[in-house]
Amino acid sequence: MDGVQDKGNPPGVGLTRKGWYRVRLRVADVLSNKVISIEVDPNVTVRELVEAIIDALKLPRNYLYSIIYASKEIGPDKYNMTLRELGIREDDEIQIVGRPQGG
Amino acid sequence: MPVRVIRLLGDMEEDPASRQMLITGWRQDLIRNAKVLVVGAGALGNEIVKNLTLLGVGKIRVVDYDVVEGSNLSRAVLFTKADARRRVRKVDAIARGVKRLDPYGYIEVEAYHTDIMDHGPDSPLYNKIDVIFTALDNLEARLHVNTVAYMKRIPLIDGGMDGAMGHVQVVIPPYSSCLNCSVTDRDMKVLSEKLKCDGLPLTIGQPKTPAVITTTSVVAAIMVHEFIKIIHGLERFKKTGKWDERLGEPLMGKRLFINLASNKFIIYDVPISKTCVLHEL
Repeated sequence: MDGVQDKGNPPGVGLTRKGWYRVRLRVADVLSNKVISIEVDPNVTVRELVEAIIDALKLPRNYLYSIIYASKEIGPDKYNMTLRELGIREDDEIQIVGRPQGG
Repeated sequence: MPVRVIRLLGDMEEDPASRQMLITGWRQDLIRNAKVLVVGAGALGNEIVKNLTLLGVGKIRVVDYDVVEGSNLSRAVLFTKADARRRVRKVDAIARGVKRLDPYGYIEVEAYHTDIMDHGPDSPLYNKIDVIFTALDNLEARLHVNTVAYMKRIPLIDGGMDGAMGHVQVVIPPYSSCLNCSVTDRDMKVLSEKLKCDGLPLTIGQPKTPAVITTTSVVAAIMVHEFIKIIHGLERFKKTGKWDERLGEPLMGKRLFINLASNKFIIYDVPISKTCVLHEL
């Protein structure tokens, strides 16, 4: 069972919305070396998760990022999948890294 | 027991490659006969070409459309103050720098002052190239070269940096993921918003990305070491699916991210994306 009980609300993006199915994830920001904990509905898509992480960590929006789960980049073909579909569970760790483009 | 003299020590000491030739499995003939294309002659391009020169790579083709500026000099070992004062073409300054540095006396640099975006797969720039280095400052040009490299099945080594952060990725077409496999629609949105703001060619990280020679050196060193593995092991890999263990396996289908500020070095897999059009070719 993922997180707390489902109250029957429609799925949403909220990080800490009360009364929802939630999973708590560790997010390691490799850019700043910070690690934060976020709660998120397992029905959110990877696309929504990325935006939520960028907001939570106050990262610059005009930058390229990769999201890593289990030492593997979550590619664009999986951005519409939900965390549940990808098997991301309570207490899992997600890493966000930049793809710096300077030469 | 009979003793056979393989090589006189005096000769070894005079050969600039003698120390690297002590590495097990090393073949200087492969290095000398290699022909590489370095796209971008900025800070990263300088460090890459410097390393290739000291390794003894026989033919180095360099492409860039820019000229040398004073701000380049803190990170560009092959440029001089005079180059910056006279705003010399970067590729010409690099060619002259290699001539000064070349310890072997045989290294040829072909300098092309041109925009890589004007060169598709039919361009002679890509003729007989063994490995491509992308030392660019924007995603659009990277993806362009990545497409050509993938179509022509030329291994590509990409590097990028920003301040203390950098990354390196190796693309071995058709076996590995490519740069396009990581590009999300969010990335494309960032690109298009940048275009709307600037009204200029699509760029990310340009023109004033924080940069320091230490990060440049590390990223370029890793990129050129990946070249060593590829040039020694690619033929064997194509035949057997295995790399030469003595020289190592390249970061094929993986990306190395470094953050020198936090001392983080992370290697992660970059899977082939099902939405990447290049893998249908």
